[in-house]
Amino acid sequence: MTHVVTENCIKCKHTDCVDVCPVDCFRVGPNFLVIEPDECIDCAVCIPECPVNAIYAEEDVPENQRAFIKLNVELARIWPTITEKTDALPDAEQWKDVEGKLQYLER
Amino acid sequence: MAAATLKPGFGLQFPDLYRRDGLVRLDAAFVDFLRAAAPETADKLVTARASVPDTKTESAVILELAPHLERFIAQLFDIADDVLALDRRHDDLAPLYEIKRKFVQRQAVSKIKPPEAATIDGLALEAELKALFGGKFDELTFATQVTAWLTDEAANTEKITLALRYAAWALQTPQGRAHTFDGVLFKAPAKTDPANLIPHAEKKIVDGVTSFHFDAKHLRRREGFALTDEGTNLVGALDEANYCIWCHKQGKDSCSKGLRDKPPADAPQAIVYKKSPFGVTLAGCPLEEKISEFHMAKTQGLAVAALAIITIDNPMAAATGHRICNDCMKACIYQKQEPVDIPQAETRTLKDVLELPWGFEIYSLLTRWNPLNLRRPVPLAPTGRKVLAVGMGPSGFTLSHHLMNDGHIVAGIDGLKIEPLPAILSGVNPDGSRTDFEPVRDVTTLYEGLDDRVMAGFGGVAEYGITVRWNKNFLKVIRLLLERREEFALYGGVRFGGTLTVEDAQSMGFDHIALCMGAGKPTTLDIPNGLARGVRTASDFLMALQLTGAAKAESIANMQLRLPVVVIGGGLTAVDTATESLAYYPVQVEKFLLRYETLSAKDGEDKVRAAWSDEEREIGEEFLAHGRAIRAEREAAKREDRATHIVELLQSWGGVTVAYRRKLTDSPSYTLNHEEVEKALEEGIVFAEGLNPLSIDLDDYGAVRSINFRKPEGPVGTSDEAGVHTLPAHSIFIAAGTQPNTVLAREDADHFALDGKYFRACDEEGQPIKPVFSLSKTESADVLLSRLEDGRFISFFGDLHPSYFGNVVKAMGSARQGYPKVSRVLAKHAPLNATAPADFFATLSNDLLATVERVERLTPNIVEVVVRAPLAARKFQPGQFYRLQNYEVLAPLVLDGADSGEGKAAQSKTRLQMEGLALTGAWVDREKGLVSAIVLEMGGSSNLCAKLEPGERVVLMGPTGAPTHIEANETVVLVGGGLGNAVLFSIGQAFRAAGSRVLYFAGYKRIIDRYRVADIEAAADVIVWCCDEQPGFTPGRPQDRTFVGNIVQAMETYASGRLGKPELRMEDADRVIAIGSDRMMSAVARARHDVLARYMKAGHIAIGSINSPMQCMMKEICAQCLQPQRDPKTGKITYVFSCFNQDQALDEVDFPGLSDRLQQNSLQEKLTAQWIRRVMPVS
Repeated sequence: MTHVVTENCIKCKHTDCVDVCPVDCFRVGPNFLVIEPDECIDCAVCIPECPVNAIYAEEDVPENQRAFIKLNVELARIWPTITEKTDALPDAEQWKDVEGKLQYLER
Repeated sequence: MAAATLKPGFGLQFPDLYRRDGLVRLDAAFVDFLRAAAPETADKLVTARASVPDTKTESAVILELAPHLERFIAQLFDIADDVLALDRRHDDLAPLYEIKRKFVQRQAVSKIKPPEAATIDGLALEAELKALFGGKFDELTFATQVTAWLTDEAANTEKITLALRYAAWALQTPQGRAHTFDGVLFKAPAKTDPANLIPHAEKKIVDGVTSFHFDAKHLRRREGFALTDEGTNLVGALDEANYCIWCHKQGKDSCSKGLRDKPPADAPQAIVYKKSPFGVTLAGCPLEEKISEFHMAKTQGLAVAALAIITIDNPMAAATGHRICNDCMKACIYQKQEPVDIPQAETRTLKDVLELPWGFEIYSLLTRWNPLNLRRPVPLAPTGRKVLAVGMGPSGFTLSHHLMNDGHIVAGIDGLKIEPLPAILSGVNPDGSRTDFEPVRDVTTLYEGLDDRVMAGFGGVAEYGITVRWNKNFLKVIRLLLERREEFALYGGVRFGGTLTVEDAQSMGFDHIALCMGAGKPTTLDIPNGLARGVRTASDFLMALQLTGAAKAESIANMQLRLPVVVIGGGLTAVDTATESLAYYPVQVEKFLLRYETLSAKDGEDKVRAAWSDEEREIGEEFLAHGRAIRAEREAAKREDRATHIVELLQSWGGVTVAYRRKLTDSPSYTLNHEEVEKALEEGIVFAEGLNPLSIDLDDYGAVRSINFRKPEGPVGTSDEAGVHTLPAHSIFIAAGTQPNTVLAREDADHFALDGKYFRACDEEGQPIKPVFSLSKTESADVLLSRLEDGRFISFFGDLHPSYFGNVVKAMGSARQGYPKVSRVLAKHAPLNATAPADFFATLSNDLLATVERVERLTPNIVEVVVRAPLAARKFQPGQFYRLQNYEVLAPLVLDGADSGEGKAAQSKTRLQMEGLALTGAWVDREKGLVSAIVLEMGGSSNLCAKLEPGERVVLMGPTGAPTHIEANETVVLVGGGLGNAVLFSIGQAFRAAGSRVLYFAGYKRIIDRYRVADIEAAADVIVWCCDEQPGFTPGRPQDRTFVGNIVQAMETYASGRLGKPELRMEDADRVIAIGSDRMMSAVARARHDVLARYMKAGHIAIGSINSPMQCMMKEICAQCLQPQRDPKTGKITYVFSCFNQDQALDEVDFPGLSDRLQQNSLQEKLTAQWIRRVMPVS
């Protein structure tokens, strides 16, 4: 089991989650965050921190977001660790809750 | 203890804090206090109490109340400054943890990678930083300064970089880690590797056998029996509390609630717990302590409130925590890295409060009044119902507490001796009545050094099973929590099923019986010579060590231990037995040497050794040589100013090895408590794996020499073709598990049924049910055992229970989960007995307390002790016996001022405290409540009986053993040797009363040894008086005879008619009962098949009363009394607990085995006898 970052993080990347993660399991890309499943301890501390509700426990990931489970695994192997909060992306507010953001994911 | 005055605030008096009406007023005062300070919070409290909200809201309310409770308690005890100072110490340390997480673990790690860190000169940086810090460098200063710098990063860039580089060095380089080893700041949690939980364990393979040990540099040089682990300080506890992520906020606090798995699809409501990599169910704290919440309060500097949060669910917190339990830690949300050391944080939280002025009273109060406990802030109103709690171990004392808070009255009994506490502390007078007690201002006034404390007996296995890794003073703390309450009374030396039965309890007015009797029967080794001299069960050893105080300098208890020691088993008991035997050995030989020298200085060595056998001389030389070697090493170490290398000496003499049948990583000690294995290895224990016991080899004297194991080949346990591995061993301790203590099912089958090895459980209708097996948290808490005829119940808890067995905190969990059910069934019936607590307990005390009535000398070495113990007297049946002990706190302390030679002042004190003596009831007076026990003075504890004073309180546990089977219309031959005759008085009378005829051979060494002639005459139709000494006795009755010679000769002579025509013929004997020394009984056993054979009826019954070495006498608990029996036909060896079944078929008793086991401690017994003669000259 792990927790998973889903589509709504793309182009927002608030990073509030990073600050509270007790095991520093977030990985950062240009416009998205993922969780390293081997490090995540399922403590769920990050869930309420996310301003755009992008984080779910693996078992709770909505049906249309299931692809992100694999994507988290894949990207976590490539991207560097992030342990401190940074500013959200400039257009975060504007991109909040926009559907179909997967196409904008930068690797 | 200086009397201290406690004047509580809010218009209360000190006694109010122990009475319900006072607590109700106190609670009202708190609500008023709260309303004045925070009206909204007060409303929330009132609402939450009226209807307890969901878990998250409950936690929030509790934490909102916490600061108010903190101030209220401070005001109540008038210690505002002290509480403030304590809380401020918490606040002052806060930067440490903030900087650790944010700066050290994150920035230093992400900005400076290990290769760069390796180039840093940390010590130079430290010097620079020290200068910047104003000449002071420590972790707190570092954290505080860096915190300050970070408030203006731009202005402090250089300094911050300096600190960052230092942190990277300290955290990431071996030198840095070594340099900061003792601190908390420069640490990051390590990943958990289940296969390698003991990183320092060195693996060694010899002869195909793998063993683990620690190198000298990782040894912790333990000496004796002082507390071995003080536990962490506030810095360490806050480190843990801050490492905790307070998961309760998101309902993820698995430490408390268990690590949950997804329920199966067909049962979505089911609670499914995850398992550890070793398959251990991770159910979390069995008490569901609010761990996350208390951690949070602790980090907020609310020291008292943090404890209050703990005590909501775990009022007996003094019995949990560091080195006791870790169920929480195993279920911590951190499964992939080091868990939070919750037990450390919990114990420190308790100690922080205890160490405040009136700290004990604060903790004590919180167990009765706790406003954070929304369900039961004050004890419920008295119900008038009375509960008998059987067993005062962890489940017994926890249950007693909860039942009192539910308004019931509780009497706690325990088979062990429980030493009285001063009435000024406990509020209990020697006669059981109540008196005022004084508040305890300084908790340390309650504490005693673990190496010289009174072995108080309260706490069951927590007293006699747990080692000095844990501060047993906490047992005194807990005992006071119970004993000070007028709803409670405590009686030691009372065994349920013996002194007190179900019927007795009901007729006394108990509405419920709760069995908290723990584990019993230890597993034995079914291998050749499996019970040879030198083999003992771990329970026997640990009990002997921890209840007799054999390790204390002033003690006269005998417990002889030789190296090498091999402990068979792989659980925590095996590990504890290993460490304690290694610690005991040097204490033992140094004590032996000192007493030997002191005695020799006066009388000469030859006299001291005169009575030693060859074997004893060999052991004696060994002890003396080892004692001298240790002494020399101590002197050398002192001279050379270095550590004393005693472990190395012990190891060179064979040391202590734990031998386990499977792999270390499979062992319960490793999978459940690897920290304890680590600590044991630190003390110099060796753990050898893959060893299955095959047989034991004996030396020329018939004692253990070595033990053979089947050796593993290839992967452990895969080969039956493996060879044999032999370990030298003079002592073998068996720690291969125990069974629940279900002897009652055999004593009282009407009320106690079994289901497998456990008692059978029942539901509230009395119908049999099967509780879930081995789960410390059950939804139904099936603690009911039996429904009595009148609809009342018996319940069971702790190690007795199939759900909750296993450890201290599970036992406490069973009480916490089960008490509501007990209260519920209690509510179904009106109280049996309307008596007020004081009167009820007065009756009970009169029945249960034992006091010496008189002591009378019968012969030069036999005394009669008459004890007033009404219930013990009423329950006596012929053949049964008692355990007599004096109290340590009442025992005379003899100062031996005439020390000469090397005797040291500290060694010149001798406490005349008895080991438990097995004494047969000679007669009882049920009307007057008197029991007579006749004691042969054998040089040890038995010699102290003559010193008992009329009116002195003693322990008379029993009657125990089995009543001798009495038949009607038989001809019975009684054969008594010396002291054994005392046992036969009542047996002979019972046979005669039943209509049997008694022919009695009464044997004595000397004329002067005979006593109580009238009693023997009353017990026999015909007596043959036998004496080794001329001219023998003159019979007092015409039908009686006299004989000079041994008793077998007497029997033969009588039977042949050479003493005159027998009035009762040997040929008519249906039954022979022999009671005397093992030699005498052995001779009688044999003679029936040779010299007496032609006079004996075929198929006659022949019984001996077997006087095995005995300790607890509580039936199948300590197993010191195990006696080998040999089937005369098949030769098969079985083992019998003599304290349960002392009457054994003479043809089955293995007399050589008995004789061997009686000599287990013979060398020490001889030296002690001389010592006692020295300190207690015959008057």
